[in-house]
Amino acid sequence: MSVATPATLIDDLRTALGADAVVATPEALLTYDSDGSMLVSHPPDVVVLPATAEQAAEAVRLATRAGMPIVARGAGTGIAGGAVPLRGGVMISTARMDKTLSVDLRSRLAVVQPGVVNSDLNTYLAPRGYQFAPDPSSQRASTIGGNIATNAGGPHCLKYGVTSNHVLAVEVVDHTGQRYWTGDGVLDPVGYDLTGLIAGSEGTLGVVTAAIVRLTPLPESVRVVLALFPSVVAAAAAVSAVIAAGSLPTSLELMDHNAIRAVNQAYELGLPETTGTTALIIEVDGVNDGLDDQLDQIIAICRAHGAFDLRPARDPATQARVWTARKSVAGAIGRLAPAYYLVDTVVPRTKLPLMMEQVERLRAEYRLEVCNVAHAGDGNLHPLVLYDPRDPDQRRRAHDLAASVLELSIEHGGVVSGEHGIGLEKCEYLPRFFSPAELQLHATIHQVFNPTGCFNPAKIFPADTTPAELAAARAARLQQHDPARAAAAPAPGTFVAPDTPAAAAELLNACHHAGVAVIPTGGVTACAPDAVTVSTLRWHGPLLYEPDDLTIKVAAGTTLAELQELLAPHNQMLPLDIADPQRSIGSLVATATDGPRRLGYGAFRDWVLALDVLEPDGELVRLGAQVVKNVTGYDLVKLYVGSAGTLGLITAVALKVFPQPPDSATLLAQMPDPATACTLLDALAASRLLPTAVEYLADSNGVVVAMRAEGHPAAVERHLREATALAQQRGGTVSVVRAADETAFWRQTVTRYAPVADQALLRLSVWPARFAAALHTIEQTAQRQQVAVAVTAHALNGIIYLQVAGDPAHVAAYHAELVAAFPHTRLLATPPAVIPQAPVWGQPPAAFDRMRALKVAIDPYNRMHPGTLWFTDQRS
Amino acid sequence: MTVTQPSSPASQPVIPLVIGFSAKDKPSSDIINTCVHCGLCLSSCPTYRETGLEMASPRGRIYLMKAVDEGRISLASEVFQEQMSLCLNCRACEAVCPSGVQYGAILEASRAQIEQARAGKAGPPATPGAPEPKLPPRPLWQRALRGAVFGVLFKRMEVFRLFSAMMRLYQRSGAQWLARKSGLLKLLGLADTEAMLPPISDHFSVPQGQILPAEGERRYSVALLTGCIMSTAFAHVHEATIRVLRKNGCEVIIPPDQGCCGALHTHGGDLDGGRELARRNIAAFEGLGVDAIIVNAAGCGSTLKEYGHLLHDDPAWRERAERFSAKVKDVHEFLAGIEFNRAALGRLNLTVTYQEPCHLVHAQRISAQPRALLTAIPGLTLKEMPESSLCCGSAGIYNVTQPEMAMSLGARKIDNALTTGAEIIATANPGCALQLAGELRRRGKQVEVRYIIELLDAAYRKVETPA
Repeated sequence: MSVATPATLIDDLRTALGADAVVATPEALLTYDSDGSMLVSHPPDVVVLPATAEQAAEAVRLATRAGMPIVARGAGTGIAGGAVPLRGGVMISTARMDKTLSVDLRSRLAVVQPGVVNSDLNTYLAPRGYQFAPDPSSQRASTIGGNIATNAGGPHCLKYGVTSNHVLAVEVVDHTGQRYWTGDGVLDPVGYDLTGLIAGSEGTLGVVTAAIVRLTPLPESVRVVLALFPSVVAAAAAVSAVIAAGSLPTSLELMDHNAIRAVNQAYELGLPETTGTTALIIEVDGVNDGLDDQLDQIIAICRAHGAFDLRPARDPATQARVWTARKSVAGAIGRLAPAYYLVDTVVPRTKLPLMMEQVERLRAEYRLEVCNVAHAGDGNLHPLVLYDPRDPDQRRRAHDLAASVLELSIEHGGVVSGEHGIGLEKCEYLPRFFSPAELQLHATIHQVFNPTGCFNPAKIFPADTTPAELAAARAARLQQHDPARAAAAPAPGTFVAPDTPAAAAELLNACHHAGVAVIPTGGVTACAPDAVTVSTLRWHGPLLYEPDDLTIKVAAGTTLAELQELLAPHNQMLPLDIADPQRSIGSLVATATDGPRRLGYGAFRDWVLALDVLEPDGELVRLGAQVVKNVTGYDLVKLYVGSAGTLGLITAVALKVFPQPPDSATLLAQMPDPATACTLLDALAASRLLPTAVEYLADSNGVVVAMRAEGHPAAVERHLREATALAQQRGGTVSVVRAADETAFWRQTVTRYAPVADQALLRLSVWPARFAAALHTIEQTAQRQQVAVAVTAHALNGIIYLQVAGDPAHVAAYHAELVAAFPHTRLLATPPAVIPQAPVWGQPPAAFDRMRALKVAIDPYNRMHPGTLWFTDQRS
Repeated sequence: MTVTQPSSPASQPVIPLVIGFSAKDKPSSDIINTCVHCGLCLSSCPTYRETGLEMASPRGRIYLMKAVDEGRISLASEVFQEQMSLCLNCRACEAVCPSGVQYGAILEASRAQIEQARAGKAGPPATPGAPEPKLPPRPLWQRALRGAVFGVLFKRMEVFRLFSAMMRLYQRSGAQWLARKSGLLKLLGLADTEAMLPPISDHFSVPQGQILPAEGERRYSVALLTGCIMSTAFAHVHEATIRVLRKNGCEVIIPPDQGCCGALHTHGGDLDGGRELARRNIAAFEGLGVDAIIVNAAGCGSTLKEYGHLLHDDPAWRERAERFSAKVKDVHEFLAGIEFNRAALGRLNLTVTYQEPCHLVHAQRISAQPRALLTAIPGLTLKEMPESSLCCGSAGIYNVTQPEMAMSLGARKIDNALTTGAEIIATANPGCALQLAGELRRRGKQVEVRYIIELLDAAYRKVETPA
């Protein structure tokens, strides 16, 4: 039943936004009753088209006052029903919020309104040498806001990652109409990753009114080849083999004969349409050097797996046509059938051939045509089940076929949705994927941001319950205090290292009932007197490692060194260099530790696929899945990365891992002074080079810029050559370290990110464009406070570490001054004599209230690591 | 919870209570159902880009057509009628549609449905038992204007030429306010021509069966469509076209008895009027034995190429129409498809940007050829403008029926063109030429608007008569 429209709401909206921005005619509203999906439709009661964030916020405020649901809509290209206003209400169309507000190429970010069309942003960026990397098939119509809502993927996310990897911060309107930013665009800010949580939340946690997106340099060269296989299964097997061989193409896309038939003629592909024929579109990119070689290796693997024809697309026009064709398959289904149901599941890559076999079997069993496209490199299969909606039996069979594929997928470690979202369409599958506790945790977060249920109701959560009921069930669970169970709790001040996660769960449960706080740790640490310290150090080793999937799940207590030892025999690695490799993976995740190769490989935020977490009462929840793309429910993994043990105890971690690069070398440029070093950084940033690390090292010995290049030997040489020239032009003295020397150099360098006795260790994060100015302030302040500072920075990321020595009072004052100048200044370690005068976590962020609300909702009795992250130490 | 299904099951036919389509010239349900609602058309649609409104997008309009077709909304719906009118019929959506929805066909049929119902000539409803497809008639002045324009002016070329001559007299005698006020000047393409250089030719191109020999060896025999506005306001473009064709070994025949192509009629919902003109043109060009029928205006070209579709239900003419359409070639398409004469091209030191006529790039998918011709001219630099294929807002009589949208699209186009710093905007359609020139004149800009064929002609003439 539709909520009755209070008569005054439409008038109020017209007054606030202008009559032109309000649509209320029934026939016009009808056109907003569905998105790109075709299953269920329902019109909104009114549509508003704000042009600014202020107007959008005002619309939310008025809708809330009238008690109306609020559904945001971008271009309406989603195919899971995410933008269908099932309960009516106020639809906020972002179509007129289509401005790019500012672009900072040096910081590699842009501030955009949510209605900016993905392709338009890329058309603007391309001549400037940059891209917004997420490229969903709908990109020529879909908006950045919609991409964020669904955490959209696309063919190129095999290499570049999904939307949330490219969103630095969002501005959100809450249900009261208040706007807040989840960040300011610096990398890896301290605190809960609300940006990561909002991305993929399908409009249920608020309305996004602006976003700071990350820009990626356009590659110098691109190679595309179309490989033709005699069967879907053969093509899928080739994909696994390519990944297993350690090359990471930009994309590996699969199209079966039906997909070929849909687009072959219109896009002049000239491919054979015979049944069975399957095309793989393979793309590699990067610097020109070594790229042909890389493609040749992939072609050889394809041939070995039965490819009977290989067609390179050499010129950009042909490449563009191939990609347009691939991205048009779903839209071209109208040529084959009147409707389709799209399955969007991701399995571990090695399971893809098996899944494709099963799809073939089900196609025959259900007597329906299936058109297969797949982001094969990601293990993301997209069988489009073709049917005629006018035939009820076909409708039913299409649904059942899709359900069977999903069930099989879940059985093999797959997910309900990889990139399109749950929307309306896949709610029913959620209870098969999540345990009751996991659903309750989702609902608890839902209630923090959407307490009245106004934002996009009837989405994501199963229809037979409500988020409010689920959250209440969790709250009731946590409210229990059983004295009998409390008896097993150790006394505060105890250090415990349970034998198993199950034992840890018992321990947490006992502490919960006893009202004792818990501090998670990964090793042996000093005990806080008023809490039980629980260490994961006894849980080691792999839980699930299939090297060809390039993912691994390990127990949280596994040390980084152990992890690297597990990976090394398979020529794989985690690209993280830290001073103390004995730290546990769990603690590295909880503290979101970074290293020099953040530039080339990203950070934990981008690598963690799944976490097993013990809730404050010891209940086990599994977040995420061990597949590379997943939008099943909220991205809770992001929330727990960097949460510093305040939300739960991490017991296991599933990670993306990377092939060892065939070659690596580091160029060291001794620069005359900081200013010239900074011009070298500018030059490197503006070049077509893709170094995996660019570090700035300054102390009393001078200034060095270290650039690491990894990959094909020819590409590495090209980097060294070009960077050498850039450094020498600026008066730099250059040397190159390789092999053991290179390892030794980095082992030495990372000690600069670690605490040293008698020194304070600070970490700052600034916009990369402000790096030089920040250095200046850091130096000036150091002189004034008479402290000695060694500066080390992931320079192109804007992440700066300072080792500070001096009189304790001066060090404290220095820290306080830097916190005032740079909000993201964190005091990582300090000698006991230094009494900090400013918050050790830096200035509380703009969204601190939301973070606190999350903490209170998830851990209402403040059991987990109290007193951390600006949270007060008060317990109930 | 109310959940409506996009389509009702075929097993239970529903007799609608609202006014639906009539059987004659009904928008094809098959075409409508080919749309899978993916939305990839949205960003290509000028009216969606301008308004952000779903119902002003191709997908939204098809959804409205579908709703009328399924009896869920009435043909009388204001939103439906307004959106059928607001559409420019630029067919940019058609060019990007992955499913190949023939949008132009269903839009024109929808407009025909509205006009038939308003004229009381709709015939029986498509769904037996549904109410009679009848709408209140248009106001008298609109009927009179439509009658005069569709029924007389564009049907009888001698009247058209006489009227154009009178209007030109008005324009030059200073009494142009009268003509401008009536909107007819715009319609005849004379309102904005004073901004054009060289000034419009003093004479009109009158098709009288002229046969103009090829220069040098005769390689092709072609016939030229003179049309309506092109033969009056843009007669000099015809002259340039003929010179360029002859320079390329073409014998050019200008058959008598031809007339307007009927684009305005078919786009404006007067399909029968369009058919009458189509039959006349087919008869005029039949039996000439030419290699190609050449058109130099994008809108006319796409219309001629679709005569087969227009006369599909006419058994006596269907095949003749298809044969005719198969011969039609846009002049750029034709020249780029032969070994055109590059040697005789003189140097033009010009920076040019290209505004793509919708009916060239979208309706005929001709995009590379005009650029190939332009860049073949020595000295000429082609600087691409943003959104070069977004409609300029002219769209036939659109700037009379939807002046506001036409105006804002015209402004957007000129904004985009001016970012290139080009001194000439090249195009290939009279509507575009007038729209661009009008907007430039309003802004007092010195940028010129030229047909591509004029630039080619100028380059050829440069060699003949060195300055």
